Amino acid sequence: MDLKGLIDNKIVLLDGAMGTVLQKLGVKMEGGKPEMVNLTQPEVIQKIHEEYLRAGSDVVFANTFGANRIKMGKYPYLDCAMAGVQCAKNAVKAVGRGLVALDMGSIGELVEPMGRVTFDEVYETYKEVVLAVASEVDLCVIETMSDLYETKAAVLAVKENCDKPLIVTMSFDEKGRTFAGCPVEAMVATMQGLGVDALGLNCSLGPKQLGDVVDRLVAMSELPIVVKPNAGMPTIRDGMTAFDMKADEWAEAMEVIVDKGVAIVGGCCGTDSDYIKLLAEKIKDKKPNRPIAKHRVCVASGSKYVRLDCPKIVGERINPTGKKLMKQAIETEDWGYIEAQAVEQAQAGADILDVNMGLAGIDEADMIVKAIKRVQSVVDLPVQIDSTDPVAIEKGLRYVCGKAIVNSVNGEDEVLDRVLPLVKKYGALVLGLTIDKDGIPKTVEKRLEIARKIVRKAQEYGISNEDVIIDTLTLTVGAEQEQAVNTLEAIRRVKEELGVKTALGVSNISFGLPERNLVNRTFLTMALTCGLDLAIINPNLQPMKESFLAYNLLAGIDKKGEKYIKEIASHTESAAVASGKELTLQECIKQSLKTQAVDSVKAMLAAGRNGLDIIDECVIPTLGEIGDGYEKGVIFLPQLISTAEVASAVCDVIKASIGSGNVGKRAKMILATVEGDVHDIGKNIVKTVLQNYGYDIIDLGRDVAVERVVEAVKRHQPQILGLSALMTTTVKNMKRTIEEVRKISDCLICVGGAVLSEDVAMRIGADAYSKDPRQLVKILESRGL
Amino acid sequence: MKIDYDIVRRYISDKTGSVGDEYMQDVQRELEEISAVQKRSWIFECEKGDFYRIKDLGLTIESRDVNDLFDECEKIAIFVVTLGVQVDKKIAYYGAADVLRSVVLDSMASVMAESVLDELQSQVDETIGLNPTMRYSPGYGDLALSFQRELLTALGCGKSMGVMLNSSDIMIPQKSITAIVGYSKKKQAYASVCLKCPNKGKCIVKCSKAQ
Repeated sequence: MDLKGLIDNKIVLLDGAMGTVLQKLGVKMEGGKPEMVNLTQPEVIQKIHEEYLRAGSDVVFANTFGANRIKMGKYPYLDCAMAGVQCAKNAVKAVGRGLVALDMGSIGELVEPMGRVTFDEVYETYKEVVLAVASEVDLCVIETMSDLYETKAAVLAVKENCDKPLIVTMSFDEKGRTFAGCPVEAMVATMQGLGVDALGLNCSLGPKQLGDVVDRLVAMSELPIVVKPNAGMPTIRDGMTAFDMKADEWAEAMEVIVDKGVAIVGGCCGTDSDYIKLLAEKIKDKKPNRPIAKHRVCVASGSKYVRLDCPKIVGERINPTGKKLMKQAIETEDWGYIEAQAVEQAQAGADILDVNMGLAGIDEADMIVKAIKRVQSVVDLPVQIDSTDPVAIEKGLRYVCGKAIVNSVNGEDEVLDRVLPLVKKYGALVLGLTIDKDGIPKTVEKRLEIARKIVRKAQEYGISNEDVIIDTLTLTVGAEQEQAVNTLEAIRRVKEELGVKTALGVSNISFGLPERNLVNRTFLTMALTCGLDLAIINPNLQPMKESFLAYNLLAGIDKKGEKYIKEIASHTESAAVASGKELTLQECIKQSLKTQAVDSVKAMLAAGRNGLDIIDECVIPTLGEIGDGYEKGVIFLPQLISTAEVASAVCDVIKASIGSGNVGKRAKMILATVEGDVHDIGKNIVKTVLQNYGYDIIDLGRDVAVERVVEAVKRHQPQILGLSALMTTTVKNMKRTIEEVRKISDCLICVGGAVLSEDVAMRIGADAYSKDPRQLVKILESRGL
Repeated sequence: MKIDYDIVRRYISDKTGSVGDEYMQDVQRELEEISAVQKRSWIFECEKGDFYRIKDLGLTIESRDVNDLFDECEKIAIFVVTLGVQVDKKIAYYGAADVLRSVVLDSMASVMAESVLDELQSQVDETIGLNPTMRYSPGYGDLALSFQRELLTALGCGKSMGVMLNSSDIMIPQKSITAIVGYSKKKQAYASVCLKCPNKGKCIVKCSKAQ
């Protein structure tokens, strides 16, 4: 009987631990690698499997947990994997029953963006093992995972390279999060979408600690649930890790877990065949727990789950259309700007971020992957992949972490047939526009027809209604007034007849009209009343956000109006402060009054002052004064930063007014925290301060590989390169970076960071050392930069 | 949890207190919400050859400085504390658009991790009932930072606590601490340790117990 047959007929019993049993037996493991025992003492491994099978296990996991090139590079890991599977198969043969699983654990290294191992490297690592041994087993297991991104790569490696059933389990703490921050619901949403066969948790804690987490799995999952916990909590006894639950106590606690609705159970660290035998007794007469459909509509990132059970805001700012600064940022790959846009929208209350890199002359597929990775490295919001290019959509879907939305398809067969299989494969949601080759229909009925077609085609590709969102399209009311109500009526009918979620980009409605916010916010409220689920808007625009909040209050969604009161109160407070005494721009900057400073510069621009003159005459001299105060020790770091941030907000207003991201008359500078170093606080402070002096900063981020710095220097030809390092261990990477850059550029290389000094800086070949941003400005000015 | 805002201000060189208590409280609220604190301690018997050795873990602490510090110690305790990876993510988040908050959060998280460790250590101190040395961590003095990897591997902290190292031996989550403490009957003098420190006179933090 295969896995599915078992699940249909009984509570499936997996095996118990391997590693801790080997430890207990005192088996010698070369290099501390349990998988090496498959080669040195295969009979021991086979015997352990046999004991589990005799105790009642339906499935045994081959001793292949760490048999991959990253964990066992120095060892014959593929031989270990093959021998491991053979041991399990021999045991099944000897006992006469049981299935064999290829067991694959985490690679044990940090994956991007936290670490340096890339998604593709993870994929290739698992793929190699799958290709080598999956044909020999009955099913594959990916277990003890913490990082959802790594897990996704592993799942794709299995699904794309073999056709065996796949079980995926992650390790959650009592609060239902993995160490990497992935909540139960985000895992379920993502894994279900990727088409695994069963999912759940293993390791981390004992069954008693995991009750709540199991409840959440049961509430969320439409797949059979797996629970394979430890024998309680670990302690070190006589120099060995031991676990605090005896077999009978554990089996009792596991029975409680099974009764919650779990389909597949087993034991992890600390359990052995005694535990499994007692558990087999407990579950032998229980009926199978079959999964129940939950119909939850949701999106997720690697650390956040968003249920679309009430209206949500999709932030629309990361899109070059009609946005000069964003366009420039995409062209120059100014990720700092794009990351800031992501964070600002998150702070303003966006639930999902739309990412669009559709710009002529760039490799959209490549850029959308980079953009998604950068956005997801700073915010935890789920992403909406916004493109009409199927290649870009596919790459975006592959490299996004979590369950994303594809924006968009339309009613054309060609588009649907090309994009829907991708949506299905990667388990995303799809947003369908009610438009086809004949354009946007004028009638509600025709729009509905296209919506029906999209929903039907999605079903044909195996995409359920929960994963379809329909956008009935906003037309400019100034041009076609009657279409505004048609759009709204279409929303209402799509909801009513098709029962799918709806989305709308709102701001087009007011194009060409005065007081656009007024029209936009009114239209938004009308659309929400008709049942709009996803409002694609700029959440930084206060009027839009206010209307959204007010709607949620009035519709009874925002219980007790808590959110409304909190957000509106905080905004009116800052407005009240702003309406106080009239201060000059210089005073606003000095006192770190952001709202007033922004209002003040807007007024100056409105009065006809030239933006660049304002920077030269007001911003830079004020920063100079603050810098002097900092040097004299009367102003301290927090004020230096906060004034720089206010000045930065002022510069942003000026940049927007002149439609250029570069208001600088000063030099171009690349900034990076060097390879291997993740400390970028200092670098960020330098960036914030120097930008205001008019330096054109290209921030490469942190842990930047030597080659990436070299590549950026080649491409951007900066006059200055600023490198930061905090640890003694990363100064060597700073030295390497400098050596490589020297070969291709004579730019001024400045370094900083806690472990550096003038002396060290000179020794590693830098041109200058500065202890803080103020000193750096002085150094640069003294060199005429 | 009690967090000493003055220490946070010291870390961010805020000598005039320009970052007010209200702002600090707001950051602390957020920090407490996002942190997933984990703390563990292990107690071992000391074994001394050329260097101190923890037999149960198969580890040798190759450091003359530790030899000096742990003079006459009978027991060694190892501590590992982490605030979890969400804190790192939030610091990066603010780093993109609100640098001041990022700096304050970063410093406060460091202070919080130390406070968690203080609390944990005081329980262990009591259990052991001997005099503790100052806490010592890989990367201090002549104890190589690479010892961190040996320590975390031996204790299985990657799997059990999610504390890992990147290619430069930097701990991820960043707000994590490993520390070893020796215990002896002898009264420990903290000041003498600070007097030997290469950062003597330059250190803005200082071991509070040394003052």
